Amino acid sequence: MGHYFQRRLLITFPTLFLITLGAFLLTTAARGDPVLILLEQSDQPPTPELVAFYREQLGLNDRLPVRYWRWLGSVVQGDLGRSFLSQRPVAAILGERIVPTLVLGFTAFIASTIVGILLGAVLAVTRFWQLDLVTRMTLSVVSAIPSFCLAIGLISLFGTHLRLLPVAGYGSWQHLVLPTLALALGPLFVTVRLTRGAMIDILHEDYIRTARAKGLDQRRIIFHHVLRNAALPLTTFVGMRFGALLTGAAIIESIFAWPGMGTVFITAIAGRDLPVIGGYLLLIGPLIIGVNLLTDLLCWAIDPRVAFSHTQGAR
Amino acid sequence: MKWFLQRLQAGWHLPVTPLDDGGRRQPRSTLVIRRGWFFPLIFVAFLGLGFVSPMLISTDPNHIQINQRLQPPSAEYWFGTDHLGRDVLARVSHGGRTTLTFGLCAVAITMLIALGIGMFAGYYGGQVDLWLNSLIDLVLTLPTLLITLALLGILGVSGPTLILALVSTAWAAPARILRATTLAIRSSGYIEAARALGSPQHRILWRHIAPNIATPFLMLASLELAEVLLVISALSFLGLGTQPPHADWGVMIAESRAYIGQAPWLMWAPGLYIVLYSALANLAGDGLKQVLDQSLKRT
Repeated sequence: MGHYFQRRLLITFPTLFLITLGAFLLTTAARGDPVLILLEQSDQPPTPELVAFYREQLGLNDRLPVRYWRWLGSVVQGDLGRSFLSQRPVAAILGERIVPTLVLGFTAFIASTIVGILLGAVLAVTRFWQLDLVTRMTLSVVSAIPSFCLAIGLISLFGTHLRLLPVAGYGSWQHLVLPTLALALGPLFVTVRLTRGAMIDILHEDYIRTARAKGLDQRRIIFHHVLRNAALPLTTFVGMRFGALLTGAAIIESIFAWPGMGTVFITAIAGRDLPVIGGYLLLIGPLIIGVNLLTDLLCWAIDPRVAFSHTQGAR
Repeated sequence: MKWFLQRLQAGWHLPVTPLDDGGRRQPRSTLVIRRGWFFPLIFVAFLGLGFVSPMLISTDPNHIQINQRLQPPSAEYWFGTDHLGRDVLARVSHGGRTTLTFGLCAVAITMLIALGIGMFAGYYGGQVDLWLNSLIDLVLTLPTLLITLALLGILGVSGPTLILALVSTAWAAPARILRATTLAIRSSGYIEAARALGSPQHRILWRHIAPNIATPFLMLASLELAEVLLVISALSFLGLGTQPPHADWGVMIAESRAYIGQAPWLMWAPGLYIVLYSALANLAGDGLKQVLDQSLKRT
């Protein structure tokens, strides 16, 4: 058991290292020599002595690992470099957009998870087949539509034709509705299907029959016995989904002109604004990796047998 | 290739008709499509159609006719015309070939890497497996779409970089499953028997393990394709894939956005194609999974 824990933690460090290394290479791989750019900006002729002096002063003569270490130190202090395009500090560009991204990400995450689990549970417990059929048909059609098509469909329906909701921008709760729907509907379907499937399987188990025979009331059986056992596949999926949701949010954000980090990221990719890409990678990457780690550990806490199936290998 | 054809034929004809519950044999028909092979076959047919249809449609997808702009669907223009009067049907078929080519290339490379690493790790075990499995674990913790987007940003947008960015992290998940499958096959009796007979290793890998890994391989490939088609379309939509004036489905949807009020049909055709192909790939994967479950049940 401890072995699994150690292994899971150990695998996280190389990943974090890779992400930071990628971000480091992005921020330092400027277009051309930074010394020449600096001299050009200050209108000084690039004499060899001057170049050598600035190279020494900027620490460009040090070996790459030393520079990486120094860069890591400056990142911890909040310095992510400057954008190629706007020349503003990357930390400021991304910093002012963190809140909208988190608002959209968490709303969509909670909407898809909670509504999905509730809907799945209702379908599994009631076994009301008309409802079951209609819900599953609707959701399977909706989930086959990629999120960006869905986004445009929603804009065309609610924005252009019905004129009920604003299609772009940020500010009120109405602005949040369409992006959340576009982001959450896909994962919602999978959550519903997973919850329903897992709960129906568990409802057929012997221990549920025993619990019924003991005379436990339905609510206690559902919440204590069924949902708890269905939690494992759900936790895995929901955790895995988090990363996809955050990156998917980048696409949705740029469609709805949501002033989040994702919009900036997509613009940066198109303009090859490397420091901004690096900064985004550095903020979102560890967050996703952290959530994945937490999910795996949570699964392990729910059911220690997970560690067993995971580490079992070839001998 | 021979075993592969044999496997395919085995999919179409029932070699032995199964017994029903009463122990009687079911009547045998001449051509029986075994359950589960329906959607894979349909999908292959549609893939073929996707590659052939641009040749059948003689209209130039980039031919601009300003006096024919924004025509609704009609007998002449099945899917209407766009803001420059270009035929949407021609654009959607030509664009589809682009998307499908990129998708198939990316999936083929992804699956070959996954097959190599998965089979190698699963078959040899020991130190090799430990290291390769750790590598798989490591790549699995990386956020896929984020890495794809970041790589596109670093390397710039072009055909090869698009495929590289798509492959970079996608191989890990199928590699893990193929490793587990190889591991399970390796410990079965017939491999032991082949080894005892003194079969050389390449023969065991090729004749005994490869045929048994073919169905999970195809299943993972079609599920992967479903995903990759969506990602490619999303990237093109964002302007990070195919570049205008050339069309693919994502580009067409992006172009249709400006005319969503006056010409909503511009969105329907590419949207429909994306959903159709991605859904079919998913269904094909599910079908192959069913085939796999059946063959597991029989043994």
